[in-house]
Amino acid sequence: MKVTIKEWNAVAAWRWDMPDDDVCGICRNPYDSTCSKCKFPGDECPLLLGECNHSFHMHCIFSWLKQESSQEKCPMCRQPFKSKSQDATAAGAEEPTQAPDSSPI
Amino acid sequence: MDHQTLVFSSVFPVLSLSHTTPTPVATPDLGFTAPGTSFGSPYIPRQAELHDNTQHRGVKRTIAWSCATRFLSLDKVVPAVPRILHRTREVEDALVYLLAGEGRVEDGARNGEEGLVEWYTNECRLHFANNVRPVLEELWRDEVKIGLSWDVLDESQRVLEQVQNVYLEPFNEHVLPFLQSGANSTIRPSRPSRPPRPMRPTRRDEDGAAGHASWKFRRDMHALFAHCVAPQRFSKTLSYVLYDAGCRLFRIHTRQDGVQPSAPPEDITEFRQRMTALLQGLERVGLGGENAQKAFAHAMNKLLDSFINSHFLKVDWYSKKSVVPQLKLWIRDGFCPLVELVLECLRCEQSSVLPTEVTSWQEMALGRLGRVRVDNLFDFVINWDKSLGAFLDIKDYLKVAGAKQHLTSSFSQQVSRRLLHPGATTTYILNVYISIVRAFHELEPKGVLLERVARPIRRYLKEREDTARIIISSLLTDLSHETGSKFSSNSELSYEIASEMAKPLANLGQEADEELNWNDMNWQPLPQDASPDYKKSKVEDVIWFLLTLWERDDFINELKNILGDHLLRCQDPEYEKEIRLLELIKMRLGDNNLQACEVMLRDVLDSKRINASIHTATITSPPTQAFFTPEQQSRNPQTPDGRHPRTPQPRRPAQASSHLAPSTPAAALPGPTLNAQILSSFFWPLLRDDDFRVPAEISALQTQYGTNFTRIKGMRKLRWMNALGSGSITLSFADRTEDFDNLTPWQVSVVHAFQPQPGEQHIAAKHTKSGEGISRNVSQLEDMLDMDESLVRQAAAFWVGKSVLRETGSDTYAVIETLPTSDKKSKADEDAAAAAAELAAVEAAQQPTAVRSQQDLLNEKKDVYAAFIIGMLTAQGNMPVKRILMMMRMMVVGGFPFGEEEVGGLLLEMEGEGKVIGFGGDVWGVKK
Ligand SMILES: [Zn+2]
Ligand SMILES: [Zn+2]
Ligand SMILES: [Zn+2]
Repeated sequence: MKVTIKEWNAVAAWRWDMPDDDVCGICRNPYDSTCSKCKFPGDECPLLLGECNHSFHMHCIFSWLKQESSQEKCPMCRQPFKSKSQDATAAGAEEPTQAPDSSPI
Repeated sequence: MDHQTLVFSSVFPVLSLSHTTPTPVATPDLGFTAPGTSFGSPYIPRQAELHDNTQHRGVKRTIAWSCATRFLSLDKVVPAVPRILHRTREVEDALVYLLAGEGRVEDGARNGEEGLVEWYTNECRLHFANNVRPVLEELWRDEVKIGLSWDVLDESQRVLEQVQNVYLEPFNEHVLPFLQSGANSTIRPSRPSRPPRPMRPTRRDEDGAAGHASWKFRRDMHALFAHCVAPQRFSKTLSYVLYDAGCRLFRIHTRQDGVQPSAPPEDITEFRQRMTALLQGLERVGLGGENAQKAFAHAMNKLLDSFINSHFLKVDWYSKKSVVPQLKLWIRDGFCPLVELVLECLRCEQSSVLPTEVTSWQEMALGRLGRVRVDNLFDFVINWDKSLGAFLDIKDYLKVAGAKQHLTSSFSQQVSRRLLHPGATTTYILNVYISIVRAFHELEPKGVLLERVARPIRRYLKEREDTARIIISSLLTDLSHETGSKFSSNSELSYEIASEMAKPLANLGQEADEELNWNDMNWQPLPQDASPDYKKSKVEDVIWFLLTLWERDDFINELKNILGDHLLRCQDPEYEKEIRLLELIKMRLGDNNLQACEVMLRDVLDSKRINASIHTATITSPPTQAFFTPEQQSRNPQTPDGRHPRTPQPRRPAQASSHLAPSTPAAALPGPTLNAQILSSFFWPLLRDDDFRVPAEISALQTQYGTNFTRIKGMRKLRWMNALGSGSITLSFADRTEDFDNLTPWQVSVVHAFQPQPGEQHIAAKHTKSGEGISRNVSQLEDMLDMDESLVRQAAAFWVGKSVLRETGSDTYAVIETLPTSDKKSKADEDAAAAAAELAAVEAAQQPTAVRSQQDLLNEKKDVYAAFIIGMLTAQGNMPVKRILMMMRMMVVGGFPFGEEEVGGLLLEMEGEGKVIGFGGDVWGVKK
């Protein structure tokens, strides 16, 4: 007997591939959920990994950095926050609007 | 003597105050004992003081008295017609003397002399007691049989009228005229041309003294009459006769006395005359008074009930109209005229029915009708909307005072007795609940009643664990594609709910408003978290009543679980019903906390696009491609490109894809397509997550897919959930090729494991005698596939059922490469059939939303049925199976769709549990 598979409908669950804590340090929601403003996770509410290896919902860290009092530091380790991914994706034309890399350290 | 004493004396003649018999003329004795006195009466001492004058008067009066009383005394035998007395000069003189002359005794005179009127009254009383009363007492001694009611009344009336005439004749002819003339002058009266008509005593009589005497005499006679016809018994009999008359006049079929109407309808005019004659006669002999009116009221009361039961009990199922207008017409044109007639006959003060009385009779009738309707309200509810007529009747009834209260309590009882018990399926309760919502909207659009009667049902439904699932599954069921059988009350789907969902959404706003007056439904306060749009679009219809069974958040949680399960099974690539349901729920409940549901829906919708872009990526597969894929841009057309956030670079370079790509001969061989549904697992309910090995080519595709996904989506990785999803395969055997679609992944994996492994090709090539190919046992399969034993067995059973595998030894299966020829295939067929049955059971248990089999249904409800059987055998004694079956078919709520065989099986099982005992010959009883 020979089995020929014609079609396969599979189901898969995605997760952010995060090494450490599984909640965003700012909104306390799991990474796999959304920031408190978004409805849909994933593409619409991505994560941002800092050079300090702390990561947050992008929307969360942006609003944090916008605040004067934040002094553009990572809320977890108080180091100046810089997106780690930025270097790797520098080729991309689009910068996040309030990208923290406007003040690189 | 006061009235009471008179009555007393008529009852106990022995003790009666001594009534003088007519005194003989020859014995004018001054010393006779005056009437009304006894020894030592005040009269005697006074005798000593008599003057000559009075002595002379005394003698004269005694002579006159003797003459008059002899003349007026009554014969023992009551003549059929009053005898006509001719008074002589002497008698006349005596009467004048005693009634209008010196011998007259004024009313209230207390000198011990008896007045002639008084004497005659006593004479009548005594005569009645001795000669008439025994006859009447005999007539009324026992309870009057209903068949004799008319006759007893007729006879009593006849006897009384006869004797009344006999008593009245002398009184009217020989007493009254003298009293009259005595009052006016001393002129001798001429014989009156016509006797005063016998009538109910009233004081309005023309001339004072005579009128008063006449009234008093009649009153005394009537008291006498009334007393001897046992008043209670008389009332009851008269009441019955009036009821009977009403029933006959209105041709009532369902009478309280069980009497059937005569076959050829009797002549109503004639009958009415008979009734009128009797009533008028009774009135003439003084039996028409208050007592009769009470009896009449009582009779009319019963008559109203019987008439409603007879003529209006039937609901207008066909034209669906109210019968109330007809009932009101009957009250006005049938009932009230009868009342008037009877009142007239009984000479009531007021014999015409006033318009306000018509109204109140109508209201009373409406009250009766309403109560009868309310008693059957549950039946009307389950027959909604054929029963609209009954509801319109009840709607009218609700205007009657106290009606709402009665309806609420009566209906609540019906609901708890007939609906809220373990024997009713949740689907049935939901269907009835929906009917209640619909019917009560008609009854009272404000919804106050509905709120009250629905409360216990809502509470009960909330406690059933399958309620939410049934509601949501039904809402998601496509009405047009389902056969009717899917919606039986035993099913897990409610047709009523599904059909609510089938109503176009747009309609819910306006059309429904006009049609069902939703506008009035403002009794429910808006939830505090209602959005501004919410109020505008909120529609309190059936669906609203379903969705608000729970606290909102509890419901959303249920919804999340059920929707998740449903989305994964859904066959519709557009997910139309699911999108619509979510819209609907947002509209009714507001959109808070629906995030999970929206994410799930978005996931399944987006998966198609992701599949497309992954496939593109797989084919082009340039590892350096930027992660802004067409897919990603297209999914957010509303977002300006510039604002689109950049996702982090994958931490692991996508090295695997180029490595794996060659292993998938995508271009050369059109291998399987892998389509994936990518779930945002955080928002989904916990899903089935058994792990096992899928065929190598699939796992290769999965790895490649995952790599591409990570590359495109950055920092996100996939976890395959192999227990979910489906596959289609083709199996090529030595003698045949077969296609199978929509298999579970573990079914594919198991059959896939029966392919020759490296080094096994020789087994596949050589054909055994029995046509069997490669064979494996369960533990081998477990190892090969890393699969749970139960899944292996399930899948193997499935393939045996499909005649792909055969169980060749214990736990060992072999591929049927060549199907057996017809003469030797019986054994294999048996196996296959057994396996198929087993599989059906397994699968039914596995998939709660799949349609249930009869056997499952029987198992599920076994406890209910057993309880029913025990209850019945306890109450009614031993029974044969046939009768048990019949009773169950009739009595079990939701029906009993099984036969004798199942009942027998059930009984055997119960016998095993020691609950019942078989007596042989199919007769069973409760084990004591
Ligand atoms: Zn956050
Ligand atoms: Zn966000
Ligand atoms: Zn940090």
